[in-house]
This record gives sequence, C-alpha cells and structure tokens, in this order.
Amino acid sequence: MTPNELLMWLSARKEGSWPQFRAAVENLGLDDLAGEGSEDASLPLHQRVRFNLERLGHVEFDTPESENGWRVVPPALALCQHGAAATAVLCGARSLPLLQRIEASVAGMTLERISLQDCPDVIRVQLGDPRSLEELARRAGLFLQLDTPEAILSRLPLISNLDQWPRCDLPAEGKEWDVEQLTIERKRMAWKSVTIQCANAPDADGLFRFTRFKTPEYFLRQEQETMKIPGQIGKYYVLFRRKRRVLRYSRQDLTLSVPALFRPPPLVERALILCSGMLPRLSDSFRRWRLTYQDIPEEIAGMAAEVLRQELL
Amino acid sequence: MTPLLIVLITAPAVYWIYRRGRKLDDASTRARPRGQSAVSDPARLPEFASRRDPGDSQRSDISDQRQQETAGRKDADPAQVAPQYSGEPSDAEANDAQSRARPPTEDETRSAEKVTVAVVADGLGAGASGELPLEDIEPQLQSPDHVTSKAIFPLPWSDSDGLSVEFVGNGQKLDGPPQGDGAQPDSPHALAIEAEPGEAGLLAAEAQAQDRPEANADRPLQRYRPPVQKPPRAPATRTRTGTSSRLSQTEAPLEILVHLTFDRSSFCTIGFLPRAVPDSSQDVQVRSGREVWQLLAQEDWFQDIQAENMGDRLRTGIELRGALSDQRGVRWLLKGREIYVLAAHPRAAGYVSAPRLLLGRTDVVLCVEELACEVESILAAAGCTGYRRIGDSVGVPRGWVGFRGVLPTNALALDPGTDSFYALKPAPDIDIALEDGVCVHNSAWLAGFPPRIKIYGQMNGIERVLIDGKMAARSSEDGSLIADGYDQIGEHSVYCEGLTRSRTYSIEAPPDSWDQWTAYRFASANICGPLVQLNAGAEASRPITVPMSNPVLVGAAPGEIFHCSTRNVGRWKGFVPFNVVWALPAHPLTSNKKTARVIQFADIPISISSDFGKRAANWCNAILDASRKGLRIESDFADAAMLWREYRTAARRLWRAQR
Repeated sequence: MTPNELLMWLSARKEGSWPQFRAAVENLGLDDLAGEGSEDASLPLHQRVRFNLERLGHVEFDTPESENGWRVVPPALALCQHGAAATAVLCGARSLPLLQRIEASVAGMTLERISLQDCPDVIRVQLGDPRSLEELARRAGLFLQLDTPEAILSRLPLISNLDQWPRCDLPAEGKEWDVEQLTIERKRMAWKSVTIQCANAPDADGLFRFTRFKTPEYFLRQEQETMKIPGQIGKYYVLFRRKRRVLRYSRQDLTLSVPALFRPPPLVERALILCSGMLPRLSDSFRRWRLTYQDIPEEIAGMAAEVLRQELL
Repeated sequence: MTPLLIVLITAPAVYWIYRRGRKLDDASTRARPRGQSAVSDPARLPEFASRRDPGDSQRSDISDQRQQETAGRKDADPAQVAPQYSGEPSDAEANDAQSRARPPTEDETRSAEKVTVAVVADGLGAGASGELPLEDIEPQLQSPDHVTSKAIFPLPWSDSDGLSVEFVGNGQKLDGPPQGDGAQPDSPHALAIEAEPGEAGLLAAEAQAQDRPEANADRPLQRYRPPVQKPPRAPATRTRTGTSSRLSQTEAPLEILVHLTFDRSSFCTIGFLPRAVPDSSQDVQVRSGREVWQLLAQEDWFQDIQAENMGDRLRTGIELRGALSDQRGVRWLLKGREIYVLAAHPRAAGYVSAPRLLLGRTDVVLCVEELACEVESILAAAGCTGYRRIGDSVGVPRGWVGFRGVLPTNALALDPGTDSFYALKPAPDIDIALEDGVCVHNSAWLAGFPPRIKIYGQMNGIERVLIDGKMAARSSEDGSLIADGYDQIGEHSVYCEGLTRSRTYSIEAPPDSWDQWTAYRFASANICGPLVQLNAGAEASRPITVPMSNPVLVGAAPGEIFHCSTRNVGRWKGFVPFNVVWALPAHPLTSNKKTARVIQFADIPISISSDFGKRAANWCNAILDASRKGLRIESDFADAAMLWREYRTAARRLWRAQR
C-alpha cells in the first residue's frame, strides 16, 4: 500500500481506531527513515505519517469526536489568495471517482499532483479567478474554504492564553520517566536532562518534558502552578516570556522559517502549509536545523506571529 | 491393595531417581524458580501432586517424592488423597492409548506437549500461570508417551482450595481422567493444575516477577518442534465444556511472530510481533527477564519490538508477560528454533514468520550458521535458484544467516517422524492467495484497488482456474490471475477446477459523501481540516488587508471602530466584524502629513444612530482627528472627498450633541 492508497483506505473506512491506523501504516512498505534534525526523526513511521496527514488537513486524530482514533475530513478545497492569483489545495477524503470528477472539472485551471515523502500526493489547483473555484467545488462535490490560512489563524486563541489548559501535578516518581527541561541560554535553545526531583522542586519554573515509552508529556510550571500543555504551545509560551524571537520571514522568497525545535502548533502549521500545500522544507544551516514554509504571504506570516506571540525577524 | 501398588510403583521410581542422580537435580533446580513464582502456598504442592492421576504412578510418585522433599513433608497418605474420578474415555482415545503402549522413540518423547502447571491457592490468574518447558519438568511430570488428550475435571477438594487438575493433550480437555489404558503407568496424560483467576494472585505474581526478573531471564524456553508426521486418525468426539474453554483461553500463550523488513539499502531489521490480545485494543507493558517493553496495540498485532541480542532470542525463544488493565494476566511465547521461514503478509510490511515455504511464493529464510550448508542443499532440492545469502553486514543477527528471494518450485516429501527441516520443504498443497490492493476489511477490497490473485503450490492437479466462472488468464505485469470483470464491484470467486479449492472476495465501491464534523471547538468557530465553521452570532466576512500605517478601521455606523493588532509587517490582514469604510492612521495629529493618508475601502453612506457610548466617542474622535490634520484621501471611488466630508460632519454633530 502506498500513502495514496492509505488515504483511499482511510476515506473508505471514514473513521477508526488508532491501532487500525497503525496497522495500516505498517502495511505501507515505507522505509522507517526520517530526516535528521527534525523532531520527527525520532518518531516511528506511523507517527510521521499521522502528523503529515494531520498537517495537510486530510485526517484528524484523537479529537473529541474521534477519541483515541481518527476520522477523515470531508473532501474540501482550501483556497489561499496570493495577490491576484490563488492556490487551492485538495484536503480530506479521496476516492477514485472523486479524483476523476475533479480532473474533469478543472478546465482552464492548472491541476498539479506533487509526490512527497511519507504522505499522499499533494493535489492543488492554480487559478487566476477564485470565483471559478466555487463552480469547480460544486461540480466535483467538494466543500470549499475561502481564505483558509486567514480563517484558521484568526480563530485561534493566542498561545499566551493559558486558561484552557488543565492544572495538574507533575509525575513525582517512576524510574522509566526521562525528564528534560527546555533551556534557553543565549543563542542555544535545547532540551536538557534534569532529575525528576529537580522538576518537582517548589521553585522549578519552565517547560518540562516527561517521556516514557517514547511518549512525551509536557508540563509548564510557573508561579507555583503546573499545567499540562501541548509541547509546541509550551515552547512558544516560554519564548514569549523570555522575549525570544525565532520566526524569520523573507519578503523576497515569501518563506517563513523557524528552528526545527520550534515547530509551530498543529493548527498554526496547517494554516502555513495550506498557503502552498507543501510540507515545510528541512534545512541545515551551520548544524542548526530549520523548517521553512513556502509561499507564505506577508500578512499570513504576521497573523501566525501574532498567534504565537512572536515578532518576525 | 493400594499400599501394595504404591510400594510396587515407588521402588522402581526410587531406583530411577538414583540413576538420574545429578541430572535430575539440575532439572528440578531449573524448574524450581518457576514453581515458586506460581505457587502461593508451597505446602500445598505435595498435596496436589499426590492427588494426581493414580494410574500415572511413576511420574506421580517421582514428583511426589521430590516435592515432599522440597516441602519437608513425607507423610502424605496416598490412600487419603486418591482422586475420585468419573467418566470414561472414548473408544478412539482408548485405541489411541493402546496403539502407543509401545516404548517411545526419542522424537516422540520430545514431542510430548508442554505441561501446564499453574498452582494457586486463593486465586491465581492466567497471568501467573505458566507452561513449564518440557525440559524443566523432566522427569517429574513428563509423560513418556505422546500426550493425546487433555482432560479437566473438578477435584473433590477443588471447591475449598480453588484448585483443579487438568489433563492436557492434543488440545483437548476431557471430562474426567482417563480410565483403562489411559490409567496405566505409561498413561499418555500430562498433568495441569489451575486455579480461578484472582486479582490478589495476579498482583502477587506480577510483583514477584518484577522483583526477580532474573528468574524468568535464566529459565530456558520451550523449543519449537516441527509437527510429527503420522497417519491421520479420527478426531476425538468429546465435547468441551464452557469451563474448559474459558480456562484454555486464560492459559494459552499468545503467539509471537518474527518480523523482518528491508530498507532501501537492503539493510534488514528483525523484530518480534506479539499477537494482539483478543477483545482488547489497549497497550500493555510486558517484561521478559530484565527487559521491559510497552506493547503498542495495532489491529492484528502489537507494534514490533526489538530485543537485546536478537540472535540468542531467535535461537532460544522469548516469553513476554504482562497484565491488562482489568488485571488479566497475559503471556506471549515464541519457541526457539534454528530455522525461520518469513513470508510476505497482507497485513504487515516486510516479512512475517510462516510455518514453511510455499511453492511459488518468494520468502526469506533465516537459519543458524551451523545449518547453512544443509539448508542450502535442501533449498536446491526444492528448486530454489537465484536467492541471495545475507549476513550480519546487512543486519542479520550474529550467528545467523539469511537467504533472500527463496522461491521454491518443487514440493519435497517430509522425513517420517519429525523432520527437522520441515519448514524448508514445501508441500504440494494449493493455496489461493489474495495479495496487495486496498483491503477495506476481511475479504472486501476497494474498487480500483483489487487484490492480486495468485495460486501457490503444485499446479499439476489443477485442470483450470476460474474466476467468477470465467477462465482466468495470467497478467503480463506480475503473473497474477485475472479474468474479465474480476475487479468490478460485487462478489467474486476463484475456483481451482480439479482440486475443488476455492476462495471468495468482494469489491466495494468507495463512499460517495462524507459528513462535515467538528474536530476543534473555539469561541467563535469550529475547525475540521481546512474547514472553518463559524458559530452562531459570528459574522461571516472576507478578510481585509490594510497597511500597518493605517491600523484604525471605521465603519459606516458610529461605534464601528477596530484597532488592528500590532504586527511588524507591512500589511495587516484579518477579519473585521463590520464593513470597513475608512482606514485611518493610529495617531493622525502627530503623523507626517506628506505620507500619512486616509484610505477609503467602501462607498457606504453614513448611518446615524442615537446611541452614543464609548465606542461611538472613539469613532468620532478618530474621524475628527484625521480631519483636523487635513490628511490626503486615497481612494478608488468617485466623490471620495464628499463622502469624507459627510462622515466628518456627522462625527462633529454627534460629538457636540453629547457634550
């Protein structure tokens, strides 16, 4: 089974359990190799495929309606305006008849199919007039989302809003825990191993990662409070508090890059990816790995920076 | 009469023990840790041993004596503990037992099935019960003959102790102990004792296993043994009781398969695939000796695991133990062997261990280095050519050799008795395989992605292959079988005429529609994939882009004012909850008149309302300040200056009215 067939399989099943998904990925016959430098490098194949499907808006995992499982997103065209032109990326469920309908309906537009590693082909439509997209969506039976990156980013809470994250206690004991703290010293930002006692010290402050059986859990400690928080949001919150800027935008190349350690939270990343339909490029600059998102309009970069409480470099 | 029988039976047994001497001690030493981990009350051991099958006297007495020594109890009265049996063995079993009254061959002795010993008082579940390796319990409990039946029956004291005795053999459980031939000293019955599962016992056993991991680590595991070749016999007609079914579920170890994958550079990775627990999809923490793994559940198996020193593990086998969240114990077992055949599997990438080579199927063979020459000669006899020998330079464990691309074309006859190279000798059997494609579930494939139909085995007996009654032809691409309409939506059947072998599959159409649903909920909208569904009350509008020099946006109604957030970009983009008419500088009075300007976005006449609040005051101030500075108006609309004057007049009037 190829990643394209995997998406067909997911679309045919519509929803299922996490073990089912993992078993299906096992059947992909892909190499379990990931690029060095990325945090994905340490992830097994099924996690990398899962994140790619999630980032491209094909499948949602472990949401309230698909707890401990997955559910495929209805097929939709995600439009992103680039000045006068626009790009529409096909997201969600796929089937052969659906793809045939799309191909039959794109007269006058450019349909591209791009193969990527560990994820289904990117199918996108380049068009001059976004209004023609509505007709395409209607004919092919697709949902249509206009101004997708803006629509997503404008609805997300700022990462500095911590009210939504549950307060809890840190794991206090257990040999299997691998405990690390996010440290920021001058230009060096990295995870540093600490003892479980250090993490539980009354004056401990910052973001802690507790890993057991390759499954990390993140805890943010500040002002005597401990909360369980998604890792990426926790990292950007620490950056916000330390007033460190990591988002670099190039107006010339229309690229937004971040250190690989600071991959944006999932929905922010989805918004950035749907500007072009392409996954971020991993590049190495003096042994510092960076993720670069392509074709990002300046306004979108600004919106993402605002959500992440960052200022663009 | 009974004491006389005991004396007659005990005397040769004592002599036998004397002969075995040190070997017996070693064997019992190996078995002891396991016995300790399973027995919560060691004092009961001699008691249970003496209550076993009286006909199995030699085994019984030897084990009795050893256990009495262990427990320091030598006063057991056999007369008091004689079991109260009931039930008769079937004719088939009686005949079978008679036929095996002859002295056993070495192969037969070794082929006696594993003996389950799980003794617990006050509760011990399957997690703590276990199967002693044959070598471990020899000679105390090992039957000298084939185990041919399996019986489970209540003991008179089982109610009070929670114990029962189980006669094990050939996967059958009998209603009672064997009578007649089956009760002779060379009775082919092994003994198993089980207890009701209980949380306390499980926890104790788990804790014990964790405290002393070396107990499991040092204990040799069972060796895999190829099936014995013998003529078929009539199956036993005994029916199983509900109790026996439940017990067999708890005692039987789950399978562990060997999983081999090649990467792009042909480097291989070998792991173990523990079989998924039936009716459970939870992850399980397991232990084997000192190694601990978290088994991550998949559909058919757990995610594969890598062990330290895979070479030794493959040779000696591996046993995993864990407990489910409902405190049920669970055990996985891979018996050690020296030859593995690994075949492609429809539900897994790479290769998964299979019983034996199959004609026409390309497999991978792993064997220990000592057997490599013999293996190659057998592969040659099976018509395998063009395979590649691989070693530790490409990831094969040390001490092992791999053969990749093994494609047998000749069936080989098995040696009588046990054939050590059973796995390498393909049978002439026909197998209809449905491979690849997108299998949606069970035997249903997705339209557009049908299975590849292949037939493995000796094709001589096949007159023709029919798919849906039509003559099948070979595909020029991959040699799979196709026929007109074999990939169309509906039910299909493949039939090998001449051998009456058939298989069915179906092709299903993909869904035509998918419902919209909510994955993430936020204050003003829900998100699913790229789709943003606004909540009730949230205004739907298009985003607006303004230069960051004009971050104050005003609408047509007083109070419609919006301050763009500060971003270090040239243009601000976002959603504004009203139709923007003007974009004004943040501080018009201090701005540079040469560069600052008022930007018109829409040609909407002003709509005056009587409400006047703080927002309306801000609206008035923003317009009046920009007006006082006399900023230039940038607009694509006609009569922009006139519209701006109307807004300025209305703002001034409103401001004065509220003073």
